[in-house]
Amino acid sequence: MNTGEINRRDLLKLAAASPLLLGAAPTPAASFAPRGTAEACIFLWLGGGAAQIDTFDPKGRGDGKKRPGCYYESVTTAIPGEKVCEHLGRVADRLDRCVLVRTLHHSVVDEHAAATNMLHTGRAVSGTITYPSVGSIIAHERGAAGEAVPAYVVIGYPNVSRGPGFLGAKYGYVYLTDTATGPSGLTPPIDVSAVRRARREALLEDLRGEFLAQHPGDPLIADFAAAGREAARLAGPTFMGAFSLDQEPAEVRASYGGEFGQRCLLARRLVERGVRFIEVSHNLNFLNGTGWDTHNNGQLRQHELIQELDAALAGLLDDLSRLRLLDRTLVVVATEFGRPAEFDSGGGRGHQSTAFSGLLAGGGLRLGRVVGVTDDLGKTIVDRPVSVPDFHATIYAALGTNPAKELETGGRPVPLTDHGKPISELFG
Amino acid sequence: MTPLLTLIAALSAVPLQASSEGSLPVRVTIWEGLTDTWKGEPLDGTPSDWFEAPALGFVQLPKKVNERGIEIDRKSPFALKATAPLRIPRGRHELVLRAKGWSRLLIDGEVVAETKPISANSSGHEEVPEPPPMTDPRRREIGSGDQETIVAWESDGEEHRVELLALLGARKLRPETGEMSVSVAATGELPTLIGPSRAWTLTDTSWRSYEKSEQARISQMDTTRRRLAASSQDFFWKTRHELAAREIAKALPAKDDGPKTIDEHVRDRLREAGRAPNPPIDDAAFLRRMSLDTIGCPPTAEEVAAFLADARPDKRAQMIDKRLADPRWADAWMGYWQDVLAENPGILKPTLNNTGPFRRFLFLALLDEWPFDRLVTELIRMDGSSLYGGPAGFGLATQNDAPMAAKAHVLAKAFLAADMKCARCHDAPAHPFDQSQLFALAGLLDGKAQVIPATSTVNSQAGGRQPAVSVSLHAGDKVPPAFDLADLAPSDTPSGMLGNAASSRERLAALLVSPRNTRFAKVLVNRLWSRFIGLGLVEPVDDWDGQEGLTVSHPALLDDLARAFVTSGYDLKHVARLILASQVYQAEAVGPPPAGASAEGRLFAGPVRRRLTAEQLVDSLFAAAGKELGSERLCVDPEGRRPPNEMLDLGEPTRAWQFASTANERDRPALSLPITQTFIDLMQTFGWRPARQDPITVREQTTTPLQPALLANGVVAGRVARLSDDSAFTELTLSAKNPSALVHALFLRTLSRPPSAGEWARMSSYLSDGFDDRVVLGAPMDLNRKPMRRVSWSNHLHPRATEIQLEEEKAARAGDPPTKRLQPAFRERVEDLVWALVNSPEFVYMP
Repeated sequence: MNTGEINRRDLLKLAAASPLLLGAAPTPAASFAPRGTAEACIFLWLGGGAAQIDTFDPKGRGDGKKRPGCYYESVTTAIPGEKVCEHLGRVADRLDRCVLVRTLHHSVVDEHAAATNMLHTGRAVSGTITYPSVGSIIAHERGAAGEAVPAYVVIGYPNVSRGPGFLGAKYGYVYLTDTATGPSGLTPPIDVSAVRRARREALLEDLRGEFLAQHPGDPLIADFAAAGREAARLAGPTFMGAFSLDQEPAEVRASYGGEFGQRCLLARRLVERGVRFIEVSHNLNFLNGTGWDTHNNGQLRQHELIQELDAALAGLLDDLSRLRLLDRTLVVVATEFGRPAEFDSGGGRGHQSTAFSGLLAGGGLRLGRVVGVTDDLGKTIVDRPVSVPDFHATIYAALGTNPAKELETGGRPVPLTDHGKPISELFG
Repeated sequence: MTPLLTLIAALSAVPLQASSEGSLPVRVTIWEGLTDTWKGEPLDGTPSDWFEAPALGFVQLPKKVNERGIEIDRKSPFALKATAPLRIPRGRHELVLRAKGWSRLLIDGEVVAETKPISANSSGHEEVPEPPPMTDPRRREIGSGDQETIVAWESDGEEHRVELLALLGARKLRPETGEMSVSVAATGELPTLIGPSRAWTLTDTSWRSYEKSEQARISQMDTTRRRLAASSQDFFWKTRHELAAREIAKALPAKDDGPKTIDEHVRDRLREAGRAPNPPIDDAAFLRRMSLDTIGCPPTAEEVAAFLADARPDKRAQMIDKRLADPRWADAWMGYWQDVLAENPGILKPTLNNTGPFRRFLFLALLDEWPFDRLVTELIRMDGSSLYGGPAGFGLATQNDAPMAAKAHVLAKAFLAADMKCARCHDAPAHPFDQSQLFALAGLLDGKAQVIPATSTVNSQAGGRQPAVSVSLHAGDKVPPAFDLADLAPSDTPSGMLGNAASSRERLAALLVSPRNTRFAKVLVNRLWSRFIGLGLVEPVDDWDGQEGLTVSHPALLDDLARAFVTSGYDLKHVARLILASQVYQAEAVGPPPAGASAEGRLFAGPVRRRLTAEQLVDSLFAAAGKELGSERLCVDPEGRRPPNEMLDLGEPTRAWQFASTANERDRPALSLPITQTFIDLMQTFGWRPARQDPITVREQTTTPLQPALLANGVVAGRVARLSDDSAFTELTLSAKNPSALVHALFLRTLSRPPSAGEWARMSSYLSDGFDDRVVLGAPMDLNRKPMRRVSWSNHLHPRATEIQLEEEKAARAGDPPTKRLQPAFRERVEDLVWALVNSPEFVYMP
């Protein structure tokens, strides 16, 4: 419906209210140059702060104690001259289908919640409004691509950073915490058999019918009854069928690896059914205890996390390619911050937000390139910084959405990103 | 301190809980301001507090209050010293000491047992503690983070003096008692808490019952002390209210023809528009609607039956009085004010514009029926405890670089319906507010000039588009404190409202609640009207100066209600009574008005149809089932080894408003609160916000498929429908004389009305199948013992912690275990009917 333009009426209102108007606003649409062709987005979240130096931005070797540097060897990739961590060997071979962004950065406090909020909303908290997440914005801008499916699914824990903020519940997510459970609210309890479900519906129809008859023409009550039927549709085979991973051939399932891989496979199945945005959390913390927040001894088995990511991401890229979905599916790997080259007293790593890595793949972008350069320790940006708003703007643009478009809340215009500019060389 | 205050302070230390049998035998004293290394050295001077207890068992301590009845923190660390006599038969015994931090047990002055000092933990890498082997499975597991020391002791049959010393709040940690206790057991027996009755054993059920009765007793003690201290201010407020009554008569004079009733005002407008009022609702619908509005849950089945049978002509008025006197009035209003005042406590390293949990201050002010001007004044003074529930918590705004501007925004929106959110960063384009006005208010809250932070300005980038708004201030500019809201509110108060020594916060509060500022009273009564009638006399209720300008549907009615509010001494219950008793309130509901209905369109032939709020929905579900919410304590550090500015313990919710965000931004399974999450899922879907970064008044009303979906399939509604051994539906089913009586009882409990003739016949027939053989004789009750939480911040990064919490999630999804006392086939029949009753739109919408 929208064109991204401030309409004339708004401008007149603004002009009338503000005699000191600093100048007429040009339409943001004019600056919306890159427009991608992706139709869906799979957003892989490495919660805890994945160490760029141990994954996508390797440097010289450290010793796990005094000498800073990589904890692992590095290997060459499908992009000439570029290396990644040895445990990302499968992704390395497929890096020509990816874009590595090595110069993400932000300055929010070194705290997970605040940084996670930043990476999801692109903004610091203000106290005057609650900003929507990138997933909710895509849900708002693009809606679901299929019938009888939600636009936005989270595989991970619910929190305000992932939420719709001022956009409202309609643009919120359906979530599940692991592939075995199905989404909360749409999965019938296990002890309620099909026979009981039918009996329940019949009893409800009886009570509801009598109540509706007593309240003819009450739109709220009619809406609620209609929503109940829509819920039954969501709980039907189109959407819920996606959760039957056992319908996939064994070799496909195996190609994705462990639970995180299975989540990625589920994400692919959701994309096929028309879900627009899926955030997949890599929070398999029983592998090393800390997940990606590798302080102290969390470092010791970090390689298992990296290997799991490697298998899942490579499996996802191959499978999407096989099904010819990669060009229209943007795959994103993101995390709240990176980690320094130095080791802490327990042999792990602290937090670092001055420079860290993200990854983009598929989605019709110009692939096989690396954006940005950091110094010898991966601490300082040497070339081509990419802000979080820029990163988000790239995601929006890849999905054909104008990053400068303004949303509206209570009369206040809020651009999708805070001055974010898409990484231009990935388009066209 | 004035002599009066000294007296109050002395009185507030008086224990007032003496039981009918005489004073309790365990005497407890509190000694503040010790050091972390204190280990029982002699305590000098006088204790800062003392009280009595029924036994050497502690679940919480009485609160400390200031001279105005505001809760304040004790100076940590502090010692607890408890003494009790012990006389037991001769023979070998064991003494069991349980405590969280350092404690010492002495008998006749001799040390017999100790526990170690508490150790903070920030890393999260410890092992998950295994529960210690239990000699008797009936014994209660030791509490999370608690230690246990067991020593042998030979009794000679004589009386001895038992003394317990404990250090709380050491190392800046939360001063929690944990499950501190001293008990004694003869060989092979269960330990009993030391105290005269010996009625409490160290078993799970006994401890839980002790915990409940102690919580109630101490809460009652708190109430008595708090109200006594607060009463020292009554004279001040009485004088103020007399002044206000005189002033409001000038500021808002009554019309010559005298005040009209609500119904006269509304009928006049309806008549002009050629419309008739809606017909009145029946008694059952009235009772349900009015109960939900005043106590936050439906009437009990017994109340419905009695009310329907009551033949008194004034029974509705009587019931309104009863409900307004009910302490649950405070519960019913909490969610509303939490939204409006953006109460946003973070239980885990708060960084997202989090406040302290000042929910407790609000709740107590409502419970104690404080006049509203007093509540607002104390809120703005921001005194007392910041992290344990006092009004100082309102002043916190984590990671906000202009916290007082954020608070000024909240206050202006709440009490003046002045929306200054745009003024946070620039002059408001669609409102008559400049950025300087907001920061000047912030200056009054802060007691000094405010510097505009860089983020509170509009940046224009070179070559980028210019801001479309007026910017008169820039980063680094200083704005002096002032109350300058032009036509909106006078910038002076009647003389006599304030003492000479008033702080700038007190001045701000007085300017807001001043009777000359009629906007305050009008905004408040309009809020009340909108809450009960579903739409305001002025809309939007929290933004009166938007683009449409101020339009009032019934200006004279708004004036009359505002005058009544001020004249009654700022008593919202007085105005509530007027509204609840009106024919408007008691009429059939009308559908929602089209968005942005004009003032002319707001005729109020009846109240506007409302969906239950998320809190009303959850509380109604559990009231119907007669179950406790059964969620976890809202805390990810049950061991108490992180300081309160990082990890709060918001306790175990007993009402839906008490939930809060689990704040699992870290996305760690080990930090999940699985049962809590099931409540949050449901409530959030129905418009509740687990995190409240910004203030709102009207929640989102959108109907989404997830709402009926979660009621149909979610864990919470599943537990409500499940006939477990703690369900009232189970008892009804067991005791019903026949199917017809069971159907009647189920309808009363869920929908607050008898079934219609058709429903009665159809559902009785449905429940007759298997009714006679439904009872399984001799089947045991399942007491559903909750295991102690072992996962805490200190060990959550251990792989085992993740495994345990994933198991907990599974258990949460499974819901409550079904009773074995009913034949499964019949139990499921009843469950399915209960499910249908609570899934009906009739349950979800206000009558």
